[in-house]
Amino acid sequence: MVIAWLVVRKNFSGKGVLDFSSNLGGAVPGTILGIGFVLVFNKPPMALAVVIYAVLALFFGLVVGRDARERLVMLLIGTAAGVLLTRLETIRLYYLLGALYLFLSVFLLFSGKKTFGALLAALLGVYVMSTNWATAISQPIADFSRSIERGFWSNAIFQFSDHLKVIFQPPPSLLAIFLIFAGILLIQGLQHRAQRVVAGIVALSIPCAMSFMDIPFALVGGAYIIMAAFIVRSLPASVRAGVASLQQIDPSIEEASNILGGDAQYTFRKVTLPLIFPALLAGLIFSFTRHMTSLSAIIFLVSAKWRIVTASIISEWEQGGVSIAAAYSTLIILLVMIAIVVLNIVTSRLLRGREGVDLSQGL
Amino acid sequence: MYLTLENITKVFPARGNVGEVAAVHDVNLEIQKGELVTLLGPSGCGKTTTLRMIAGFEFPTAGRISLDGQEINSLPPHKRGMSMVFQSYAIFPHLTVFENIAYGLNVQRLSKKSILERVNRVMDLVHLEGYGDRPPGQLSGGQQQRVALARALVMEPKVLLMDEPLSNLDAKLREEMRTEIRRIQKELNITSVYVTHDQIEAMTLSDRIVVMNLGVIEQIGSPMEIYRFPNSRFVANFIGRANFIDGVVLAQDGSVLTVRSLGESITLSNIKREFHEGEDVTLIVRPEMIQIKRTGGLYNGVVRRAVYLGDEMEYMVEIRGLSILGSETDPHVTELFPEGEKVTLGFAEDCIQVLPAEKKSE
Repeated sequence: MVIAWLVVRKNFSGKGVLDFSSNLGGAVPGTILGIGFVLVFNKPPMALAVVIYAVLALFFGLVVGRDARERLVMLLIGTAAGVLLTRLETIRLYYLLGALYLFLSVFLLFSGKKTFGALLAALLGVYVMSTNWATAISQPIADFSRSIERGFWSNAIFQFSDHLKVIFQPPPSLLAIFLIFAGILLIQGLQHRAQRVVAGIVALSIPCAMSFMDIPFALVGGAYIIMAAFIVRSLPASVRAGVASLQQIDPSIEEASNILGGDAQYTFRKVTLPLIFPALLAGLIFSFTRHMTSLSAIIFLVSAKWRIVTASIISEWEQGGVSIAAAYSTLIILLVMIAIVVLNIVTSRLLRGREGVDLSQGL
Repeated sequence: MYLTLENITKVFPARGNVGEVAAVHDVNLEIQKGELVTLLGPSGCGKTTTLRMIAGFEFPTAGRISLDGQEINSLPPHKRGMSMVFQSYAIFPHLTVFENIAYGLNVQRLSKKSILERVNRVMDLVHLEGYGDRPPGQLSGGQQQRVALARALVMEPKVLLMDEPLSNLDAKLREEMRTEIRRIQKELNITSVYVTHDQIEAMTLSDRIVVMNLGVIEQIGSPMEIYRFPNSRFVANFIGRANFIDGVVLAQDGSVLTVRSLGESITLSNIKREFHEGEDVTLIVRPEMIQIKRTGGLYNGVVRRAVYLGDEMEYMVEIRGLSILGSETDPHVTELFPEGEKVTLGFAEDCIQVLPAEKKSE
């Protein structure tokens, strides 16, 4: 939806490129995509991390900095600080990076920024630090799963401990991408130059350090590469559905919000998002059901640790485990149906009293 | 002056990015506090672009916009202290009437009590009492228009901008609403800029009218000045109906001008411009300035069309190959001259505007 929102912006100069590139995922067959991901991310060159960081850092500087001097200072000092931080031991680095976000939170609170920004920075700080705690939390759970009788529950508990690590130990280079955008959200709008520069340096140094930690973008064999494949495959349909929905909204509705005092973010939260929420949920249902049954995109990306049920169905079938394959298939059908029912209930509750909201009101 | 536009120009890239199109060219306008000024003109004349530049949705290519002495060119719309009523109303369809009107107040994070008080006051003002819980989909066109107006007024704006807010309403409702808008604007004394292509709206609502054409201002004046003394053929043609009669100046003595037209000499008074002898001129004669009689008039002609419209009788009379549109509004006159009848025409010689002859504009 963010990509769709950018694509329909009148003044966003990159919308053509973004629109085109979001459709590429649909052009590439799933198996080719999977092979491509393996080739790129099996032993990713450092140059990949450098290019991705450079592009994002420039974007950060352009949006947050008000003039060339500010941008240059933020980029140079932030990058230098980030690179120096990578010399630290990984465990200490995560604590330090988390502490920097907590410092940023206090800084934002006392610089007059809204408390939302300070709270977000604090949450990010805790999240970054939790990378160290995730193992400490999940390990006992994994040990417990091994101590009970082998069967469904031991597997389930063990899988749960793995999933905790997925949530709290994302690949640092991927997390860095998210943190760049979070940094923009936190800092843009700071009025004083000195505050902006200091906060910008801190907010840039953290994703910089993360971009070059360990082996950047070493995703093969993990859960995130599977998620990335699904995301790329979803992009064309989701962006098109989002663009179609957004284009139905009368532009003067957003202008009305603007002139009534709402800036772009407020307008998006209070006006645009509620209006496109049905389309959002429809896209979600479509993506969920599609990817629950998808095989081609991830057939080369599954590993012994991260098995997808559709790959398991094929595997069981080939080994003669027809009944297990059938059981898995039935489970998928049930889960998808439950998901559809739940999402439909959520949609109808949210739209209660607003049936037939006319997006072209007044035209 | 409260709101000032100085040398405002707006240029857009032409289609295919070849060349440029000046939507607005060198517009200068000063608006006093509490005044309602209407930007009037045909489609594509630049009036909406000008309004959007005042609002901040478009940035001028050149020139300066000032509000209360401060330049506001670089201020985004949400920091200008203005409100706008859009042509499509732009009501938020997912919010109730109350929530729509309170939207701007919620952005300002006012207290619930304050919001309730202000919204209710404005709803009373626009006669929307009791409609607070309704979704916009259940409102009529006129009610939606009132919601849009209330939403703008509740912000107590420095300037109220209205972009053809009545264009989606039927004729009767339009008439009711323009009276309401004028009443509210006068009551609150809000500086307002109104955009329309409807001359009757402009004449009814405005303290002053700014007539625009092809991106430039043709004339600024009160409704009476614009109607009685148009300074160009375009203005005369756009506002009301007019006959354009060619003539040649014979003599001028102060505000009295003697002109030869349609084969006869006519002496006109209240002429403000200076002409020289022998100059080609155009007489702008409104239909109601023509007296049509069987005999006794200055010009001889033949009735080519006669229509009874209830409040007036409309005639097309041919004089020396030129068709002149006249109207008879005297309720005592009950006889309609039939087609083909020979009649005489006289002009109200103190009401005619005279302009230097120019090429006819579309």
